[in-house]
Amino acid sequence: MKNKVQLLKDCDPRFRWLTWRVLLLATWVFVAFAVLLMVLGQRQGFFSSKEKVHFVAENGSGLTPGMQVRLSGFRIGVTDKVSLNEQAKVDVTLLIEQQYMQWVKADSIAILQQEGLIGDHYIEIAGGSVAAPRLVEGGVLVFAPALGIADIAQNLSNRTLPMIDSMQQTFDYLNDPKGDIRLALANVRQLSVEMRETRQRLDQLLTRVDGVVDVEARNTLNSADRLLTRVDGVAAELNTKLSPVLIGAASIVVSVDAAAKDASATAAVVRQAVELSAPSLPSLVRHSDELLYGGRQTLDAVNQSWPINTMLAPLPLQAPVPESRR
Amino acid sequence: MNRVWVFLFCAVLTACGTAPVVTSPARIFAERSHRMALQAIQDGRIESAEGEWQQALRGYQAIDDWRGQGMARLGLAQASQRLGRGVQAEQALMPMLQEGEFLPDQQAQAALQLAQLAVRQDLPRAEQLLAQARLNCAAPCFLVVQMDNLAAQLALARGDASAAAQFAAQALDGAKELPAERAFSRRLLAEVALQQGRWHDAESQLMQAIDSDRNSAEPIWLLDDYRLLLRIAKEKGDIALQKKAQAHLGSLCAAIECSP
Repeated sequence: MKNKVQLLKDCDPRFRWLTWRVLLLATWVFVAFAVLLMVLGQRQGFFSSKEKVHFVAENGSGLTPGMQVRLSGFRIGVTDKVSLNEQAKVDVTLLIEQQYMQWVKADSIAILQQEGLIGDHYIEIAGGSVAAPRLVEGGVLVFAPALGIADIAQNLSNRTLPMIDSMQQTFDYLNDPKGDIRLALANVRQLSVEMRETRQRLDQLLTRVDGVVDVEARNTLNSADRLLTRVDGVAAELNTKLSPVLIGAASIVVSVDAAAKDASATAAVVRQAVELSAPSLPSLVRHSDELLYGGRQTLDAVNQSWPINTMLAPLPLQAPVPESRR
Repeated sequence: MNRVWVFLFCAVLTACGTAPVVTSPARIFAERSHRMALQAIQDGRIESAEGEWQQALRGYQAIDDWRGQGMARLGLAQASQRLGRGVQAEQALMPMLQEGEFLPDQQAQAALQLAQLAVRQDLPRAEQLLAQARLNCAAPCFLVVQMDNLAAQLALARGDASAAAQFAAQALDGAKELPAERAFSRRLLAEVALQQGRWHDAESQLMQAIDSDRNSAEPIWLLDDYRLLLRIAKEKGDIALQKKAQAHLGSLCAAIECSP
């Protein structure tokens, strides 16, 4: 080895300009590294001037420093700071690139969104009317937490349950044997029976009209008159009792309509979320399968290695012996 | 010098190593399903076991391995039977009696399992299948205890208490290393004693069976035992024993949703 080194003399042509060559290489590496840093920094928005804006959230779940801020789907900044304030609420500071601030209006809102069902969270700046002034640096945005599927379902449940209770109460009221409606209907039934009897008496009267004394006819007519008066009373009573029920039923129909619209909106949100996630599902499943396969291979390998193979001997391949009591 | 040591070390390693076993992916698939089915049976995951046995059966069919197919069919039938799917169990077993490619021992076990399936519905067929199982099982038959217990069951169903007692006693003698089969033999002996009006013997045999079944910790077997104990107590007119049996049945049924 020593002999070989002695063979390379300082005047060897390969050593000519050696210092300059090394310097050139180092400079080239340094410049490439600097350019790379510049490009990455530029892409991350390190060299663009930014403005701070704030919002206050009730809950910090899903809010983390460094998460993206987007406008119309484009990244326009990052979340700088997430901290708990004295009112136990969450102060969030956003850094938004100055060039995009022209579209962040004083009435814009910040919405916490998620990419698909299982993706990262980000903050979407939305709303903002054209006529509204641009949000000044340090301005405060209104924050709207995105509703998860569980929140939407809870909301729908909260709105639907009172309506179902109300319908149940109405049906109970209608079905109550001692309730006004059932009593009024019973009265009507009794009245119809009496009317049928009166009709029979009138028919008899008409067939015997010649032989009937004037007094009997008058009595019968008086009776019919009283009966008609009662009919009016019962009809008025029925009208009085039924009106609130019908009004209640009308309000229920309105509630049902509103709930149906909510359900439709929920379905649209869920559908959108599923559509966003659907393309990544096959690859997710495939990756999970590969992961499981890899895990199984690793476990098999571990099981076959000493000393685990002596402790976890593989089950011998045989048929299970039948048991008499199965 | 160092090079010599390294060479010697490699030579020793090579000498101690075993030749790599080359196994086809299809066999690996079938055997993995087979092992997972056995593990699932051990863990009491019967539905999983049924699925794994089906996969193992398909795997063995794909590589034309009749021994493997036989094991998979027997396991599949047991899992289906435990899930209450008697028809599927029979469908899995019947080809084993019709095809000559299966091993005789496997055919014997298939006939025995079919007889166990038929014991409650078709007594003559169960007897015929049991006879076929005895014929196919080469001596010393590894299923003799199960066959004797089944013969005792069939004799009891025919009303032949003495034959039942004889078969159950044979099974009890042969089942020294099979505690579950021993317990069942004792339970059969208790039922024979009950039929013959020997209440004390019946209770004694059954209590031993219950001790053993408690160790096996199979709720269904314990339920069967305590139902028989209640019958014995009623026949005997023993109120205390009746209350005891009812207490155990109540406790069991609170856990496994049954009617005492």
